Amino acid sequence: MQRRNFFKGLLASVLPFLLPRWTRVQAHQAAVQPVTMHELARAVLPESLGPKRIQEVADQFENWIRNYKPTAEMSCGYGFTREEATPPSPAVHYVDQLRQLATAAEAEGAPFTKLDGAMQRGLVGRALAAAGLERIPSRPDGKHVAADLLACFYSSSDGEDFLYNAAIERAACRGLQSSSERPAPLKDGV
Amino acid sequence: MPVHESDVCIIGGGIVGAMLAEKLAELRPRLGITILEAGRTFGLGERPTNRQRSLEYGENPWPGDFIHDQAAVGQISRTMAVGGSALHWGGTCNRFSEEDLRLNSMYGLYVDWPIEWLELERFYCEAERRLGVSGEPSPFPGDKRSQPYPMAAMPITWNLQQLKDWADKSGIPFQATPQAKNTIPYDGRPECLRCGTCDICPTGAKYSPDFTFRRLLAQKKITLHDNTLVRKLVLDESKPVIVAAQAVNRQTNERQEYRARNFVLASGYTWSSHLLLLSACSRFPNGLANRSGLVGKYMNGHAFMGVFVELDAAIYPGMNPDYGLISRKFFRCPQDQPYARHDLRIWENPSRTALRLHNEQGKILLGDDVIRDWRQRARGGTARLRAYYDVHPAQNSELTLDPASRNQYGDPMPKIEHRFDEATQTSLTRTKKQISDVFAQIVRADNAKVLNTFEGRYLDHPAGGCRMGNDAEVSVCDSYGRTHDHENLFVVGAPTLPNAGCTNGTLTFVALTLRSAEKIAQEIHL
Repeated sequence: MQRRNFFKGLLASVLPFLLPRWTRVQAHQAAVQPVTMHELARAVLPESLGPKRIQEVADQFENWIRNYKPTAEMSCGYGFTREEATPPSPAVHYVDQLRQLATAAEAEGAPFTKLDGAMQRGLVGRALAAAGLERIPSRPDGKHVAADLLACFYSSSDGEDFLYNAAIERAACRGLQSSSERPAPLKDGV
Repeated sequence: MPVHESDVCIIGGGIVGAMLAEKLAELRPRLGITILEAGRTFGLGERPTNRQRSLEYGENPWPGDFIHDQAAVGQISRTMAVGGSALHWGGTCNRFSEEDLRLNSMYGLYVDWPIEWLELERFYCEAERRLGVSGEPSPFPGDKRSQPYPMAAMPITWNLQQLKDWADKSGIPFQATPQAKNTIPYDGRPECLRCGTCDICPTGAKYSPDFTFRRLLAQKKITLHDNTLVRKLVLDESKPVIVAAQAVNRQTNERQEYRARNFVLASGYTWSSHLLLLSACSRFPNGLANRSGLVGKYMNGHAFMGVFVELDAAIYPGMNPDYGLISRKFFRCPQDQPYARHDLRIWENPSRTALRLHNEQGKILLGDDVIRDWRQRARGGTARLRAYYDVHPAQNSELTLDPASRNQYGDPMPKIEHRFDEATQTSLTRTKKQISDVFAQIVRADNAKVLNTFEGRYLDHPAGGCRMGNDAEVSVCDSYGRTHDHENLFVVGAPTLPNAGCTNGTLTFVALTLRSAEKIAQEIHL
């Protein structure tokens, strides 16, 4: 019974990300509309990425969530071995968290998208602090959707290149020839 | 019960099993060779997808490469699959040095190996050729080679060049670490594309034994039964020879019997001794090959310690994270000085300074502030230095059967407890001090800063349990791996090593196995 409830809850939370946007709107007509992933991304990702890249990063994160497999086998490790599986989807509480951001924005007198960037980041910052987050996790861990969005980006090859402003391209098969050269700066820093 | 017959039955589908099978098939083309592997087989086509899932989600790049109830306390890797631990390996192919084989005669420590260095060197060359090792010669005369590396070394990355420039200021010479990775197309596999995930090489540029098995199977030179767990070796009723290996197919649970003229244990440092102990019978109540009582004893490996350092250099994590530098300067210890031997390695540090969500003043950091804050704090580059150091096992450094832990078939699982001999215990503090001083010498040479230090809590590249020797009273097998008690039972690879040297062991395991292959091929009668 407990297990059934667990999966029911998980489905309810993750489902909105799996459905088209219009369905999401219908599903939550009665409640406060959660902040969308794109709106959140515009608030928390670096503006210097540019609007197009910000949108792509948000899409990539939604895709990451969609393809996440809970209880997938992880490596047994080396040295001190242990059997481990991937935890439940970190997205379980995302809808609630996004709705809480929307509610907090309304308490400020405007929808989240109508607030200026500083106010949006203030709201997100308070939510992150309430979730006990001081750093961006190395991988999405479900503590807060904003931190997980950032984690997904900065743990990616693209995110790391952006941090270093260098085309390291660590996830690509780059060939040996260029390995002695210093990675080139990104075009326009992106 | 199905009965399978062959000339040589190799138990274990890892790197030494692959090398043995390949060489036997060349030397004796008509030999019937069967390989038994407890784990599953992976297809080459699985690699790119598994790599991607591993990168994005941290999933096991080799899903199902372990057997849930086949686990040992004290074991450092669970991998059981066609390809063995060398599916995951970094491909590092360092040679030992002569000192490792002459501890007793040179330093009055532990034991000597029953094999001459120059003979082993010949098989090192063969191992490098078969694995496809890229490397550059060592500057030390003691590391003289009789043949060049089959391929030029991998290019030093930008990162490693910065680290080499830094470390060279200490006066300690560093060079590229030899790797079983192709720098040109070699042996039917492509040139390395620097994908940065050597634990699962998506292209096959890094050697792994599944390639050898795949080729031998295509040429119909071997029979390979995967998912086949050998539970017991059976002795002839009157003679001290092995007649069969009793196994179970893990997918069907059907019992199988494998009969052969020769049996070779190629099951690594854990499962080789384990099977011998499990195979106890009335004539060998302490386990097969164990009249000396030394099966499972003298388990060894090398200890390690290291430091993370920050230096004033532009380091970009991920350029070729498994590739590093080595100095062999400390492989040798003058005989008139206190004994301490170790290798010395440098890598880029793959992890980076954490990204903060607020600063010391409590200001929330989001958007571009995250980047600005991080770039301010992460100005220097970071690197990892590590030394493997030589330690010697006590006799009771051992693998035993643990009756409290059993697999689904009721077989007790192994338990490994490493212990050092008295001389090692006495010299441990001094050895660690010497290594710390070497780290300090490198760090000091260019005003770098130590971020933190670490000490290994296990022994790496473990070996032992069936140590080789000329005297049957104090060893389990001879220098070819032939057990003293059973003329048709060999042990190859890691278990036969009396001690594990002070650097990665795989090349040595393979070199010794290739030597065993010649003996087996020479003596087997059809």
